Amino acid sequence: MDFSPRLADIKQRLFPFPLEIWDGHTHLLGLPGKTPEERLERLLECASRLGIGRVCVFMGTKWQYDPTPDEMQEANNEVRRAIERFPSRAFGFVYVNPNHQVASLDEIRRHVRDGPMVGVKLWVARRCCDSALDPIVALAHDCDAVVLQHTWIKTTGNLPGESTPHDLACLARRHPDAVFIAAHSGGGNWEIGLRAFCETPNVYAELSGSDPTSGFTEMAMRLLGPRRVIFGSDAPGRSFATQLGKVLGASVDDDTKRLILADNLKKLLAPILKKKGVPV
Amino acid sequence: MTDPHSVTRRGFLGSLSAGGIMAGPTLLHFAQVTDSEPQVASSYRLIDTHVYLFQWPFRLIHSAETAELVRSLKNAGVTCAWAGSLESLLHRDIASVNARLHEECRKYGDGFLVPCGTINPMLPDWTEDFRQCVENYKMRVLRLFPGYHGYTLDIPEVGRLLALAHKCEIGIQITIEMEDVRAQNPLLPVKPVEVTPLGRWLEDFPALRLMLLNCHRAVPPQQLAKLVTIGWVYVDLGMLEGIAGLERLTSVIPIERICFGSFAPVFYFESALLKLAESHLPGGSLDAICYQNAETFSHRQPPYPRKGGFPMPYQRTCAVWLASSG
Repeated sequence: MDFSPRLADIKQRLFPFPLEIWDGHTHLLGLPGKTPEERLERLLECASRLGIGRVCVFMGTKWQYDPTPDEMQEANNEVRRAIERFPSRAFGFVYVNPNHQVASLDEIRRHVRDGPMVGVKLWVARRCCDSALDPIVALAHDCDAVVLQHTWIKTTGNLPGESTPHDLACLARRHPDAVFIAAHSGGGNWEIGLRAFCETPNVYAELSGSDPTSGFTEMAMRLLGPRRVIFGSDAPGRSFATQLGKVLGASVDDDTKRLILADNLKKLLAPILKKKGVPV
Repeated sequence: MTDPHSVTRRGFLGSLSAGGIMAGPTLLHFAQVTDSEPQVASSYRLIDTHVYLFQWPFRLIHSAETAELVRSLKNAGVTCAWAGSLESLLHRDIASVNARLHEECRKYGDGFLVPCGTINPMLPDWTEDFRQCVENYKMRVLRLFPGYHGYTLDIPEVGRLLALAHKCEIGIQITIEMEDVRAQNPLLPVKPVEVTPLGRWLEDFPALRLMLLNCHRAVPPQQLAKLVTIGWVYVDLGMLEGIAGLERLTSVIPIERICFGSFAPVFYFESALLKLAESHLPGGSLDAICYQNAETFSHRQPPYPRKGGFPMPYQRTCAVWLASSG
């Protein structure tokens, strides 16, 4: 292994001042390990190399676009096993599917209201502007949980149930008191995606899951301000390195980097963490 | 500015066919360029093999001004940057593009920026562009953009171009893609370049040095591994994704073929630098990735000996290279 002075030099250049980093978007799929716990251990090992202290994790070891109630349960049980092994470093979000509303609400009660999870994850089963999401958002809000919704705008065409940032803005307007994280903020077409959130102050733009194209963080800052932008990686599919570079390489001041890398997410999670007695 | 016609094209191409010109004075000149490059103050060397000057057509990039780019790269520890021109993507007057690139590197780089001219083999008289880059601008590395210039790697002109590069000991960088197809402007979709035809050219030109830029999303690991065993194929770090990506990449191809390349300023430079810290690599690997492999690629150094010698698949090509370089 290379513990050379060169590596120390690189780290000094990248982290010239102390930084706390929370990653708002990680997964277990794609990691080595026989168990969810082993997978999360590997994820945290790599996260530690770049100073990432805490991660939010969701969706289990197998992914389905439109999971059945049993598949949702299995995925959430896996995540719960993993986070319970590393309670000081990993937060869980419960994965739900609005096509199975009753089962989704049961999962939120089981893992968030009565369990250790702190957020709700929605992916691509149904576009999030649909009214089927309303009871899910309402229950999440009652639990003080944040709702993290995947959003992409693909030039090549979205999946049938895949949400755009505009879909999320529509949902957020219907639930002005709930807190939403726009996972990916529209992905590679972030210039279009970010604009959708200008008039929805309860939506936070998350930076994960796209190439580290210059200007993303600066535009998010310009449109939404420093307190509505959140770091996330989408590891292990994406590299912690590439995604962290979006913030560390951005032309924003150090205080803003601190907000994006940890403080903003901390503030969003503070109510539910306090309720669960988790020290921050 | 250098007179682009100081060496006639007839003399240039004629001497190539006679097999003499590049093995003599041009190589000597390259050695002189190497010797005269300024020594950097940093204790570590870091060659960024993949940067660009000028404006990305689709968005304003903060450090696209050359002076600002040079300043930011130096602050990040880069000691030398191989720069291509973003104008190459859509401009058709490639000779002017290369002239501006050469001048910009001379004006701002102070030896720090190494210009990598563009050749578009679909253009009439492209060999004149090649000659200007090699003879007048003393370029050691040239860059191709097949996706943006509308050709595939199996056409005969690519063979001619690679034959010239082989003979002149010019490294060729091929950009496999510039952006995620899912994120492209819908009016200008450009697919990643299909690299399968390279196998044939690598067999035809065994000492040819190729570097695939931004290849990791489009080229499957098994295909990459196969190409590396056929010839002198290198890769950069642009678009290398997934956690501990370098650890995974070194399980597929040898460290000797991996060069640091950031794709800045189109991508945030820090994203590439962080990759070096995200993976645990065998001792000495960082030096290989950070500068030694780039020097070997550009014919500034023979392959650096590594503990235990060269991996077996490379002994053949290494011997070919040593023989061809006299």
